[in-house]
Amino acid sequence: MILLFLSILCMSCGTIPPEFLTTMEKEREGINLLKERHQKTVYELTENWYQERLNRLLFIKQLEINKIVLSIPDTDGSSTIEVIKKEALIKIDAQFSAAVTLTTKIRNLLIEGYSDTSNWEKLVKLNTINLEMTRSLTDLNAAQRKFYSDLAGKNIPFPSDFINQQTQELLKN
Amino acid sequence: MTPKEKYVKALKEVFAAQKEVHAAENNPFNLGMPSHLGLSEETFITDAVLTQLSTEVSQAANDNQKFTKLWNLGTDILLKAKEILL
Repeated sequence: MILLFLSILCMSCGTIPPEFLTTMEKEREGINLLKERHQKTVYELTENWYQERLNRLLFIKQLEINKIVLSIPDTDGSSTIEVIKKEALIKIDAQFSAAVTLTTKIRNLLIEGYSDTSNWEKLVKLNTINLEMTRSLTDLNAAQRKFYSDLAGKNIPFPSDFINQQTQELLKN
Repeated sequence: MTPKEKYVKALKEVFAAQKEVHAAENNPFNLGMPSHLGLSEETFITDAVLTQLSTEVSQAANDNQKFTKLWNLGTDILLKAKEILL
């Protein structure tokens, strides 16, 4: 009677190979690795754009300054003095500062717009859910195996292992 | 607001807008925005479905943990019984 009870009980035991948990943990590591690489790529591409635009703005600033510089001959006649129109320089400087501020804002928009944070967070969340379930099943399976091993004997194969072994042998034949 | 006041107000707004457009056109630093500023809002799972999944699977995992405790408890009891009986 006891043996029958044990047989029925243990035949119902599920089997969760430890590789399941390892796979889920590796999946989490993979997601985190890809997430970091994606963020790094977005940052680097945006930073390249940002630096190019800053250089272009600096180039334009120099061109504009060149337009408002007047060269006046020095009193001794041997050299020239460069004079810059003050009001025009203030205007150029203000326009340049505004353009740099706008460029920084655009850079932040680009990083935020291409980082896809929401989808990455959802992937991580899904993996956490699956990991939680896998851990609970692995623990349950370990408890069931311990129960079987302690009562039926350590040398007797676990029912599902036995079935798997038979299946493997059948497949070989 | 009288019609005349409305007209004056609208005219002032037009002049201000014209001034802004003129300033932008004459600003050599105005290089424009990039053609795209980001990805679309496309997603593979909605927040509501994800929350529902999280709740249901967490409950099931919690039940599994409780069931594990019961298995361990049952194992201890049966081992004690086995010691006494055999």
